[in-house]
Amino acid sequence: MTDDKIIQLFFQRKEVAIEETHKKYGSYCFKIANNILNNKEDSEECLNDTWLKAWDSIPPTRPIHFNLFLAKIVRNFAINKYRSKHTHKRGKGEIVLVLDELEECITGQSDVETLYIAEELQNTINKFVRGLSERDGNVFIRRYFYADSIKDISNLYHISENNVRVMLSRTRNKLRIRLEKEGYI
Amino acid sequence: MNKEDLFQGFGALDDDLLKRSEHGGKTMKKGKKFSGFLKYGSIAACLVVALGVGMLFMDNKTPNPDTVPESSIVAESNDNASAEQSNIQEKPESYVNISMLLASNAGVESQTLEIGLVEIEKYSAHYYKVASVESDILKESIGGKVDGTESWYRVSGHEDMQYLISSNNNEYSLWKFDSFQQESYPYSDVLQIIYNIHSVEDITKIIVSPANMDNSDEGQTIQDEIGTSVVADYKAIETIYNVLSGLTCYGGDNWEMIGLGDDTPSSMLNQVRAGRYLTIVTSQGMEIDTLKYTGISGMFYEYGGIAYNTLTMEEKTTVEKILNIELIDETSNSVTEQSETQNKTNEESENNRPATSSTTQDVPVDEETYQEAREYSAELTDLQNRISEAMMNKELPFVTSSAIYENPDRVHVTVNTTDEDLIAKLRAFDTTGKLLEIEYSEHTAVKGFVTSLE
Repeated sequence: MTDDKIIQLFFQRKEVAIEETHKKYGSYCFKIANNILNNKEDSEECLNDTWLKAWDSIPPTRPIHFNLFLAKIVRNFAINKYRSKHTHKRGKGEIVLVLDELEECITGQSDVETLYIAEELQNTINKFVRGLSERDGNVFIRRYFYADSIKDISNLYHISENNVRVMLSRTRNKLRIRLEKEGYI
Repeated sequence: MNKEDLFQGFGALDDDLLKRSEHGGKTMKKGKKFSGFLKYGSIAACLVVALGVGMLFMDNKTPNPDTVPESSIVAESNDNASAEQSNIQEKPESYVNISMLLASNAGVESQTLEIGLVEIEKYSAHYYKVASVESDILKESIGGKVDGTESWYRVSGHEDMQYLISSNNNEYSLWKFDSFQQESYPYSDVLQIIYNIHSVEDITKIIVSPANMDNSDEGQTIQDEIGTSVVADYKAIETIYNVLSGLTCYGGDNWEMIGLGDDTPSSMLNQVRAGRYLTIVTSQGMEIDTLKYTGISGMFYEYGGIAYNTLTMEEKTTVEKILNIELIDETSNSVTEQSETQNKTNEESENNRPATSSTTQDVPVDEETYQEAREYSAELTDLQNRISEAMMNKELPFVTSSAIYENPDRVHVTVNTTDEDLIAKLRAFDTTGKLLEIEYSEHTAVKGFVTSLE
């Protein structure tokens, strides 16, 4: 079923909208959640939360890119779940590596606890990614939005895994400088 | 801030960035200076790619979105709109890159659809509001006023009207063209009036992506197999341009007319196989990403059910050859029937398109033979693209050139080494083991050139 038709079902408040969304984007959203949670039950729970959120949001929202609309929601639920479950213990899977890599960007010279507004940080990251070359930007997004593995990224873009690692490392360094410059760290 | 906060900070990336990252690597720009590198490789000529060839293809005349510094994304700023207008008249407008104006963390909650009506020449044009940067940046990015309107502006430096900026009580918003409010109209008017495309020379390339209406595992697999390609060959672009120029548009909500098929899993998969999404890149650097094509009904269409007339069988065959669409038999029968009903209406416009007709003269009569030829050609192009990409990534420093040759069709690669391990690495690119021809040369020339065997 086309996205237009599914969204139309949401607007008509027909519950089959959720079934169709699950049918079409279930595996897509599951992968995003599972990349973060590395746990089937938790990921499926996130999926259900996502469908519910979509149900509550449409209408009035009419997503332009339905898959990305769902991707953002499911990612958010997955991060929140990850946080609540891993406050005191180290998790497993790709997300651990991803977060460890990101830690490089925020461990600078300054150890001052900085207050920031989440929305401003999102803006900064958005601008930063937009300023990258298409190749660097895409690789960065696959790793830190979708939490894709290095191997998956390598396969997707037909570049060697080593190349992916080097690109990510350079880009993280640039991000660290940017965050430092804008006072986040 | 901790690492989880930072990870969460990636959660509001703009849709266009996320969408871009979904494409495979075949068309991904490596750096900022290369353009049109990956060529449509199955035409009668051969394309020779050598190390360093990218420099020959550097596009100096096109404002490259990636190279526009952030500080220059807006026009010279003044305090009010009227002052901006007088300023604009005195000196050339700065070119504003649209991507810098789009969706800055608009969030999913604000994506409601708003439609605006703009009087443009003889048409009332539908525009829909898109998520954009803040009003004050838009205010500084306005170009000339749209003739006959009070509050609609072109984007600074743009002759096209794909995007317009609207002002309402000093609040500025960004809008994108949807369609004309008319039962039917020639698409050539859209190309000329809205996109400022008056000839084939105004198009630099067409990016062709797989249709994504089915994202099940199987659907994704098919999408991955199709991959993204770039049509940069002049003749191919000309053919597409000629077809598009002859189209009639019937406006939105015409899904029945588009006839993609039902929602059964097999039908959805077929829709992916037969579908392609086009992004037309203009010589001014604009990207028009609204056109879609389905081989099921042989029709171009757009989001929102905007339908066009069905292509003639001849046009359909030619277009699908360029877009690399391979249809299974059961759909081609229905397409034939549907297309024949439209042939009459298209005959007139077809007469003005000699390029289209001449291209199809080479199409084999036997569909099966033609199918095989297309598959073989697609494999060759794919292999050539992967080797080119690896060369650009410096993964194959011993390869000095790679090209598609004809008679027999193969990818001809020149190397400057006899090291068996390295040669094996190169051979690994050819999974079929029959498409690659390797030539040893002592020369390590890095000069690129394009030649034709014809």
